[in-house]
Amino acid sequence: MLFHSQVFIFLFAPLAITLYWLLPKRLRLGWLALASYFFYGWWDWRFCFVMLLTTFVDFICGQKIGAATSARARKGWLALSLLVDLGLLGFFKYAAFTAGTVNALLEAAGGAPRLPLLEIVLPVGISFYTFQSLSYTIDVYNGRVKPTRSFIHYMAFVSLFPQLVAGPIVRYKQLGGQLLSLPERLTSRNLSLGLTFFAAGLVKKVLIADRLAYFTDQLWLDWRHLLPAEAWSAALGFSLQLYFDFAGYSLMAIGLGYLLGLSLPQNFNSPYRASDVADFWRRWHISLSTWLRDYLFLRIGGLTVRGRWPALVLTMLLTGLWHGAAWTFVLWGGYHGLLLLVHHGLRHFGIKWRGGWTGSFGTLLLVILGWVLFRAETLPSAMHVLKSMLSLGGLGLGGAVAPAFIAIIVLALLWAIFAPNLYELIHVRQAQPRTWALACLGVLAAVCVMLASESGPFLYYQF
Amino acid sequence: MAARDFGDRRHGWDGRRWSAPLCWGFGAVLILAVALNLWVNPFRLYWSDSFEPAETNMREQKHLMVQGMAEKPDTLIIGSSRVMTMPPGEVERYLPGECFNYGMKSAMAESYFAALRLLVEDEGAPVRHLILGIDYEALHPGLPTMYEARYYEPFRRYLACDSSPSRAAEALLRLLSLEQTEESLNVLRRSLKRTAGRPKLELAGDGQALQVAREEAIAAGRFDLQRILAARARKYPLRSLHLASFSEPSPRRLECLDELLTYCDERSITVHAYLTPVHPSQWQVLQGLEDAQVLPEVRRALNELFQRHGLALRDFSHIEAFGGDPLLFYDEIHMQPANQVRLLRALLGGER
Repeated sequence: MLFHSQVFIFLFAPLAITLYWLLPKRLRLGWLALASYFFYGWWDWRFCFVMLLTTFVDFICGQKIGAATSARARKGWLALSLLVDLGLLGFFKYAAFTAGTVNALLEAAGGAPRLPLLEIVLPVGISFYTFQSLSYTIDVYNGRVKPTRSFIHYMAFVSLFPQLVAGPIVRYKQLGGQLLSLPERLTSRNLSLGLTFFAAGLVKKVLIADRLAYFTDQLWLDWRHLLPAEAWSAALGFSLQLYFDFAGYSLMAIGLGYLLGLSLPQNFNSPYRASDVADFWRRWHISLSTWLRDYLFLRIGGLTVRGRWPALVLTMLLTGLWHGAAWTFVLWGGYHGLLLLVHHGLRHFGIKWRGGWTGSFGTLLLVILGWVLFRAETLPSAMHVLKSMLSLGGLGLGGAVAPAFIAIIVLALLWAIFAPNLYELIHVRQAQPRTWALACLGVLAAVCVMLASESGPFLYYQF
Repeated sequence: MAARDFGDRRHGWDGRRWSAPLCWGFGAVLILAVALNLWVNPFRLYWSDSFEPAETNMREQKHLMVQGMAEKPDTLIIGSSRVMTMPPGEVERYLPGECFNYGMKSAMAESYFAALRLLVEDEGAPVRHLILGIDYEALHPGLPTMYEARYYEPFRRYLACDSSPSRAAEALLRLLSLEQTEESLNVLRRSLKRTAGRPKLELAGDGQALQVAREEAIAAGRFDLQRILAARARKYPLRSLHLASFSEPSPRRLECLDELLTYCDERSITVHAYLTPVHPSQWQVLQGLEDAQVLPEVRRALNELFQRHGLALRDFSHIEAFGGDPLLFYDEIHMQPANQVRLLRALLGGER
């Protein structure tokens, strides 16, 4: 079920949220878990059991870790949690990729028995809820949080429908307490914040990202014949599409959180305004980058002087792999690892990346080049588009780009760079929106609902 | 780097003052759209008949034409809009008896079969020959059955493999669709201006579609095929073929075609089937697309099916196969009658 579908907006969300507030407080978590499983099962009910298995194993492991008296037992239970979570993720997401890679290597070495290439359906959101659940057992192990005693409570935490399938990846420390002390009633503050965030996310997704997708998909479908101007439009169009799509989803998730009386963390902070690559990663998919920093980078030597740089590259390679089981994603992660390495290396030698607009422009350019690797389905197609962008094919600057596409790109770019984001407006500037602006947002959201039947799923669903 | 969370901060604004205009803006547009669609009713989904419908249901219109014919057709031309310009008069040069063109908008496998059954079973047409133009899209696994087919009850009864929502569900879902709202506004605008919208197509008595405006443009030398082709070069594979979601030929629709061929076999109807042509410029685009690799698979599945029934499927998807002229197209998929004549010569030449 998509957030921007009519069935979600007119049936599921009103029903789930209204009943949530009408029910006695002790029943709310159960209802929330039930509604979340229904939401997830709408796509394919069979995969509810995969999520339930992850939830059950981590709940038990969390309790056992909390109760264990020996370090060995604690480690054992943590290992079980890691094994099950990463095993499920590995099977569903990486089995075919691994088999394909091994087969290719065996063939290159002179031909050998081939591994079977299984056609496995990837459960929606498995990367998100696995990381979310995993952070719980690790935090319990490290003594950062106390294990929960209620399975329903833990179920609600893992399956919470607003952020279940595409984040933000919420830690137990951020949400567990909120779920234990739910507010008595829906305050007007949460209602207005929820509606505003949801409507703004809807507009970003349907009116911007999907309009961009219409043009960019056509260009990417025909990647072999892209002329330089078209290749740039394809790259720029996708960069903006991805941002508005994912940031739109995150805003809707946060809005739904407010409507349930919960506060979810900010996931995007105007990333295309970043002054350097490190700054970009502080602003893009914040919940994932902080997760990887805390649970991977710092654990594999990120704190030591000698281990810091290899840890950085490895973290970024795995960031790429997290996004998808393909070498293009690994390459994209490696590319960003290299950029971060250069950035920190320059700083190490006292050379600072130029700040201000030139710095931001340079960063944006580097990020856009990286998105080509991210979007391309194969390495040859990525290289072809990059070559075309850099005019290495001797094709000149030709290429016909629809004026409407250019107009949307310009509008989206101006919005992404210059417009303050909603968090900034509401929580930092504490701006009082004008009545007409809110009414306009409502009108645009209504148009989005009417456009919903033509809209595609969120890009991050596939990760 | 920590994820920021300002949820606990206090704010100086009034929540009710904030959410009210948002809800009003949202609600007002939706209520207006629902009211407009119910009142104008452009697709004849609701009870109101205050305005003329946005478009005539061609399946219905052609059915009524056949109903009114004293001599029911012996030969039927069935297919999508790509066969609509095929002249039945030309077919009658090769095959005996009356011919009628029952080409339909966005027809897929289930519409082919439903059209044949409607005319044979309801109208008692003594069909002996069926000219069947099959599009690749006719076997798309994800595209829904065209609404025209579902909204016209006599036709809908014969839709063997339709998995679309019921009419009532669709009427409800479409209350808020932008497409219907746009059509409602168009109908309203035309009504206010008191101008009847000029139909894009006119039908001859034998069902052939006449592209009046385009023929006028051709006669006046204003028709620019190259511009049309260039503008639609990339749109065709994406929008018409829906390549991204075209992973394999639909088993359901293949079964539908199978039933159609069995039906014809049982009633001694000779099937003259062919794959409909696409302009060479579109093939150039398609050749470069990895996703277009599904098309040979569709062709293979169709060939296997026809061979099982002891029939031949002529592949006219490239115009060279029937000596077609790349200039005799209206756009990337719709041919002018002169090209249809060439196609018929290649398809039925041996029948005369």
